Amino acid sequence: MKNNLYARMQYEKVILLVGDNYKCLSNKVLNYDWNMVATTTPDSNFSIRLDNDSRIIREIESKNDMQDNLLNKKNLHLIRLLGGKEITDSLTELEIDDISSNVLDLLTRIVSVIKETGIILIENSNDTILTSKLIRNVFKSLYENQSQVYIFNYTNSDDIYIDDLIKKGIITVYKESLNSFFDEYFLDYDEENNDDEESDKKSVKLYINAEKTNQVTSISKRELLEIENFAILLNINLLKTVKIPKMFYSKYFELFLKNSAKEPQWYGYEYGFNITRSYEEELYQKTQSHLSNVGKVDNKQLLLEGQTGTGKSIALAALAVKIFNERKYPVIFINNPEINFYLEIEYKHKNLTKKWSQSFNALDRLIKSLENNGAKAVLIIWDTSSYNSGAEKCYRLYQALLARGRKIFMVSTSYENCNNITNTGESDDENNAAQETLIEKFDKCKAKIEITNELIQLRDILEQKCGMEKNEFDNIIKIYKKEKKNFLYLFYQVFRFLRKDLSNGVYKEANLSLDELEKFISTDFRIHNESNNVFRIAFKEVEDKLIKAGIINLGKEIPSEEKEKIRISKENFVKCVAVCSKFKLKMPYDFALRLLKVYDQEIIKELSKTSFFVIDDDEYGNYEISIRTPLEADMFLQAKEMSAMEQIDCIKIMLSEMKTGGEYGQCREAKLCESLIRIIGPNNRSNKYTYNSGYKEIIGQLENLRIERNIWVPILVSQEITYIREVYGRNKRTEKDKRIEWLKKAIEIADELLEKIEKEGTTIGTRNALVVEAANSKLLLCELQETTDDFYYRELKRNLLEVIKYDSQDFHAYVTFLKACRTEYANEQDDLKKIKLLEAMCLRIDEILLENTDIADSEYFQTQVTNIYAYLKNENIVENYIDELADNGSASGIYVVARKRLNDGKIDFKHELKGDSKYEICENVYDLLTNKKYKQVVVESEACQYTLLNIVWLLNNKKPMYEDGECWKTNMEEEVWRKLLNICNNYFLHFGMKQSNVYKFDRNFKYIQALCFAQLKQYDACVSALKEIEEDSSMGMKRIYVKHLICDNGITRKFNGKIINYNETDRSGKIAIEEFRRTPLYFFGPNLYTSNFKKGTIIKNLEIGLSFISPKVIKSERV
Amino acid sequence: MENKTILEITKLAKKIDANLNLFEGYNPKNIAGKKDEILFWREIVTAYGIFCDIDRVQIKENKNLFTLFVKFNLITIKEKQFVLTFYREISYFRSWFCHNNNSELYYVTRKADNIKNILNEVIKVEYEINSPEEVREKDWDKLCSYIKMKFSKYLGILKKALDGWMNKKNEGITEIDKEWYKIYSNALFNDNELKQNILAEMCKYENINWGRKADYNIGTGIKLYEGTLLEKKYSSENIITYLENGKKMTSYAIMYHVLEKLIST
Repeated sequence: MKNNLYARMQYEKVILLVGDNYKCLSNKVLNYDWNMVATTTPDSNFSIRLDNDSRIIREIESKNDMQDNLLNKKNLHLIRLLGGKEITDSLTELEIDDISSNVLDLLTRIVSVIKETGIILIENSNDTILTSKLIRNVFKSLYENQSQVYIFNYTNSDDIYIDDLIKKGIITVYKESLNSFFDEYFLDYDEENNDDEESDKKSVKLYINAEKTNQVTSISKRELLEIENFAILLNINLLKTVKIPKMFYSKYFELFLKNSAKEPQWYGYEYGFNITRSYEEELYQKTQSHLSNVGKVDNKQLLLEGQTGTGKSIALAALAVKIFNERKYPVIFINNPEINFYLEIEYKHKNLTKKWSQSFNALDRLIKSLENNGAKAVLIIWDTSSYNSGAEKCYRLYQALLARGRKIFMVSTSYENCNNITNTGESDDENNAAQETLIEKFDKCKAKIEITNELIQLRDILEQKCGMEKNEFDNIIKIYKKEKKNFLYLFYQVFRFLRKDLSNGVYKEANLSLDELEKFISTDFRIHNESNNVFRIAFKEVEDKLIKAGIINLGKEIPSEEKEKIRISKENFVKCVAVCSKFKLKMPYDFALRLLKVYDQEIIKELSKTSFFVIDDDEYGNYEISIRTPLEADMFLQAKEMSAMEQIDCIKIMLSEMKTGGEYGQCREAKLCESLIRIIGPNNRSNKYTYNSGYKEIIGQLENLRIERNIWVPILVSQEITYIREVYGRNKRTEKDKRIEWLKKAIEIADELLEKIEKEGTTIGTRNALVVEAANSKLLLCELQETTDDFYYRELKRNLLEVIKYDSQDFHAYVTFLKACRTEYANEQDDLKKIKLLEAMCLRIDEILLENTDIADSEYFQTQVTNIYAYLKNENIVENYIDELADNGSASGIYVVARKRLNDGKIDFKHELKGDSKYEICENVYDLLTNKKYKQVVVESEACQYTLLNIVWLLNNKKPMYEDGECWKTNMEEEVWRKLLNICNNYFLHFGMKQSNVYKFDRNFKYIQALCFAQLKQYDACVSALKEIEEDSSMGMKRIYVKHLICDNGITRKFNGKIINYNETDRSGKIAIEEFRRTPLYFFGPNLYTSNFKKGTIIKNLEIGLSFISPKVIKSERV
Repeated sequence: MENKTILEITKLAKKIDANLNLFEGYNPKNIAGKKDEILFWREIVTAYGIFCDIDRVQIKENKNLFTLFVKFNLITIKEKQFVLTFYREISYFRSWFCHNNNSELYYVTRKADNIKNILNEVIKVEYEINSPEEVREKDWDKLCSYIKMKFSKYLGILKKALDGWMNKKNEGITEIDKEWYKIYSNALFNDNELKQNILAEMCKYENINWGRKADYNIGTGIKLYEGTLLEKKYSSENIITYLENGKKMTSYAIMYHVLEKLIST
């Protein structure tokens, strides 16, 4: 029995439950890699004893603190069941009752976490809280006969509560203590046989700039702890530890082929198991070239694009090994495409709670540490290729790390863009524009599918390393050639060869030739396509394993009805996993078991042995199951001749079996369903023509989820709204009334959900998506009803601006906003109102042009701008309205005229003012905006003030406010600076700093105000103005460049400074500049061209530049 | 030592039976440029490796290859005795060199006596040599020659026996093969070190498959596998069944397949 427990501990999550008697537990027990520890002891020493070099302890006292990574071994949750309280005699009965109910709450949550898979080990004690009655209460909800709870040190007799659970097969008890179980089963192998030196246990060794010296650098394992769940720092041990005896080459080659899709199999590269694809040389050359350009502006990250099955994952790992072996740059390999590196903002009761991404900070810290160890650049490789906007994630991460000043280069993967799909409809254009804008930010390398010398390489590996006879390889090739397009054919034949040779030995199967083997495999898999027997092979294997695990017993004793049920469950299970895997989505293991309708710990072990499935764990430590590659999943679906509708049926099954996972906040199943629905949905141009016949069914199922099961998962409801809008609302063949009716329904659902969210809270991203979805539906409704109700539009636009406020990168929000403006403008009949609308539109354009270059550069946005500016041309009558509008307190007329003149003169705030005519136009606009007649209204117009600021700047400095690169010089008189300062001061007087730093204009005005202060020698005011700019690291995360240098008549102003401190490792320090009095300024050592950083050293001829966070001291050249 | 002869014997053995694995993985200590005492000990260790690490089946096991040869009249009892004595002498020297040799202990004194006899018989000087510590520099050469001569003679006997076996095989006599499988499978079954290495390798593979550290809890893994083998009544019979299939394999591979099959089914 204990053997079985030990075996389960290898494959399942293990939780320790202990009371005060933890003190009796040996270090061996406490140091075990628990997935969670729960305790009734309030003793703080317990967490000290649990602490070790391989994990961080996180104390949890209430169910609300239970995080997503609840079962993470590296971030061990120590659940204090008593909520940090102590049981003393002085407690009242009510207090004890409260504590007991907290215990019950927490334990119930723990049980829900392990319900489908996982075990709890309890060291029995005479705990007054953790009574056997309570234990029964909590654990009786577990499945019977699954033995998920083990009580050690159990000597009680006649305990009716525990006896009941023993009878039900829920609890197993042992007389001996956990200590003796661990002594017996967890041998001190590491201590006795591990000949690593002590330092090796505490650190990893790698090379940094050691191309010539071979010098090894050590990095403490503690520093790697926080990144271990999602990334790996390549090191000597990792690549060299696994020694493979020759006779195991073929076995390990098979493991390499199978598991490389899951995660890099590092041993394989050392042993030459990887087949080098033709594009790898280009990938390597480009990476090298970019690595040598790290630090230069516009060093684009590299994207390896290619279809599934082109070997991108193996190529990336091979690249990592190759660069590592050159011993110059450290390499970090991120293997988790889903990892969240971004600031997460919770939205509840109109309040935002910011949660920094621990992963991002951990990664940043590690890179910094590598830089401190001398790394000139760090290569980050992120295998992201998935349908979940991988490229965008990579772009954001790269920018965010650069913003922190990290010297990195990044390579990632993405699926190829499908350019050959017919492109229709406006929503398509919007999606494409977003995608194409993004893709332009990358340098690209194409992973080609064509095979060149790969077969020769494969033959070499098989013949030379795996001992395959020449004729055997020829035989495989012969079969492969029959189905040449289908290289998986080749692959599975190889698998069979590798398996046959090793595991079957002399037994029957081994003596069969490959052809005979195909005949040997039974034909009851209902795969109709005769040519596709690859899957018969795979499925025979899967079924064998399931039978072995005792899951499917097709023996005679089972009634045929039951057999049919089992067959259906099995088919559903595999089909659903296949549909998910086709889109590179992995199914949570618990969910898969629910589809299979069986719970047995043996399944996971057995399925992991098949070539077809892979099982791995996500960053939270939960198992996930998928078919090895999306290509195999797709081929399986084809072999089964599964139509799009049948695939939709699978999604329906999943929706009906889905649990919301509210128990511990991960919503993994809902997220999976949402991803699937989104990927096949009407907004995905690659898939919408395949799956559109089933959209109505999906809508029905989603509605069912809400109405019948009362499940309101925001991400799913958001999809329902999208589907309704796109399927019914946009369907021109449907009667208008029906379309309106459906749209109203979608809006109603959205409003109801938004109301729920107000109370229950969600992430800001989800809320934003929902607002945009709702706005799109509302807009469509407006179009259909030809609404002119400005109140309605105002609310709609306000909602969208709020979204933009929270996430300045939300392209869809901008698009919808501009569309709303245009629709309203088009529907509006009143000329005066039209002009006001035009002003509002132009203001937003200015805002985007100023701050959001990603969106401003996109073709879609530029088309919209052209369209909107075209309205200006039609507004010849505007000038007539200027006064009327001004009398009514609006500067819209003035602004529109100014904008029109600027546009006519092709004056762009981003470009240098060249030519007299442009100069004249600017002066003309300046006169208009400063005309005394309009002074009052202009001062109160944000748009006018922004225009005025830029005009004054351009007229006097010629060069634009923001140029390319960094460290810009200005050349303006003191009087002009005062004028600019006045504009800024007026701006804040009238508009103030708006709530939470979000309107970009604020930051811009604040920065220019700070610059004016510096130029006018009001340095303290400059520092405090910059302090007011809260660095928006959540979304923009722009690199903190030095923008303007303080200048006098075009020459930088010089300062003297005294060094206060200097950190050799960071190569940065603080320096006191007399003019800045009490505020020491930051400097980066190499920028000062000196080697003497001793405290008190005086350095002359320094220059000061301003960034969005603070002034920085530099020296632009060696003196 | 005698690498060429050993290669010939290996080839001959394979001709007789695909699974007659002799000198498999033979990796003699480097003796190029070595002489006197260093050379002597290197030769001892190499010979010991053959009898105890590579081919325990030759002479170390109770039922061994040479008893088989005697049974089928391929060599004389005297010849077998010669090989046994040679093996023992090698063992005495190796043991003396590698261990502490506390003279209070029974087996140590017996071993010392035997070594003393050999030394005096080979070196033949006017005084009595009590232990290798007393061997003069110039006398090591005699000891080296003694070992070489005996090693050569042992290989000669082995080759003669294998030739005889081959002849019998050509005549269609197969009883000897069957008997050999029994002996060989017993030897493999008793080779605990080989078994432990293979089980460790299996644990390592499983660990890597699950993304764990290669060495994770190998000790317990071996223990559990041994439990399974006990449950499955693992015996030399399993090995015989495998050998009878006649597939050409190394001892390691044979044992791996037998153990893997038992554990995974």
